[in-house]
Amino acid sequence: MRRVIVVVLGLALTAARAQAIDIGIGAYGGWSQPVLNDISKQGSTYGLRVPVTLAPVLAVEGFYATSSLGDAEESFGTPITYTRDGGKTTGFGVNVMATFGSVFKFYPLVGIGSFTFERQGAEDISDVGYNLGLGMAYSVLPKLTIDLRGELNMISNGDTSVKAGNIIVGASYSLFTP
Amino acid sequence: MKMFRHLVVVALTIPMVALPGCIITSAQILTHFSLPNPFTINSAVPGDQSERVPVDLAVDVGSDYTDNKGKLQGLLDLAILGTFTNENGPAGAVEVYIVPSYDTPAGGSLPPPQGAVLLWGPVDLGVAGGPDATRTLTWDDSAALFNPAGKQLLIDEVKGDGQFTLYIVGTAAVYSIRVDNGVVSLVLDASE
Repeated sequence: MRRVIVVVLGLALTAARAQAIDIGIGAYGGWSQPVLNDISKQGSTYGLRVPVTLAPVLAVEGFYATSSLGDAEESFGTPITYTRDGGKTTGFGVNVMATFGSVFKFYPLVGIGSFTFERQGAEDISDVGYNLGLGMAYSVLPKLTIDLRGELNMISNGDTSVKAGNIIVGASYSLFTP
Repeated sequence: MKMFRHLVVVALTIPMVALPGCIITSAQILTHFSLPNPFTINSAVPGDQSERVPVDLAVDVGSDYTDNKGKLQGLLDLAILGTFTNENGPAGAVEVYIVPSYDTPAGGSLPPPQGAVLLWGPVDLGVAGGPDATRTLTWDDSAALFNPAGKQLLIDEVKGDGQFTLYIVGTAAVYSIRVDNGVVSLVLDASE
């Protein structure tokens, strides 16, 4: 899986050098809501991106992401309220986006990455993860773009997965524009 | 350009379709069953050295289990919670053992039978009457106390007939330990 990420990023960077394609750097943050998961609650997510526009309708981005999910509370019918660590996700990978529009862009995305889900007192889950989502971006300045994105992140765990829906706001700055 | 755009959209759609449906539709379901409340294990009383807790998940957990039994892939998280008090004796600990059989009657018992597998513990308790004689573990601390072999046996039973027996026992030579508000929390990992 890491090989796939390296190859995709390598191709993107090679293409960028050869054709002076747009490369940027960005950061994002937002909310992360566990999906079908009773022992994690809403938390936050943030990370870094390296967006590379390969063609007017195609972009890829390398990303590093981290999420801290909220703790769950439960009393189990006893007088004592217990708190369970909601868990933390870290990962890196590549998203691929089909972009539509110019100043205002709309895009679906899919991504793949290497993720680790950690929770106190439990074994870490380290496996491949997937991103599926939709986003929209607006160029507020020639080199500065802000975006709003909704995505579903799924970390594989055998035949099941740990999932979270993320609503994130980001900004990216073009470093190398043709 | 239009054709290229269509190809890009198709290329982005293929991975979504190719993802196994079970990964997308899986869920982590928190449920629990209660231990007798309260109960005491006493090394000095023959037949009361441990607490025997026969568990039938279909009865003790109910629909959370029966509705998902065919979809269960494992247990994502486990904890044994409650307040443990060393009422008489030196510092010691509490352990929980598991056997795959449904042993009756419930209640006071001899020590765990041959072949019982350590499931959880030890929970250290201070000398009776001392400041550490009573402990209420946090959920996080309890989840870390599972023995891998016992946990695997429990997972096998949860995915199997759903019946097994827990034995709660003290480790010191002399003990009288009371357990209040004991529960076993389970997070079922299920997918279609």
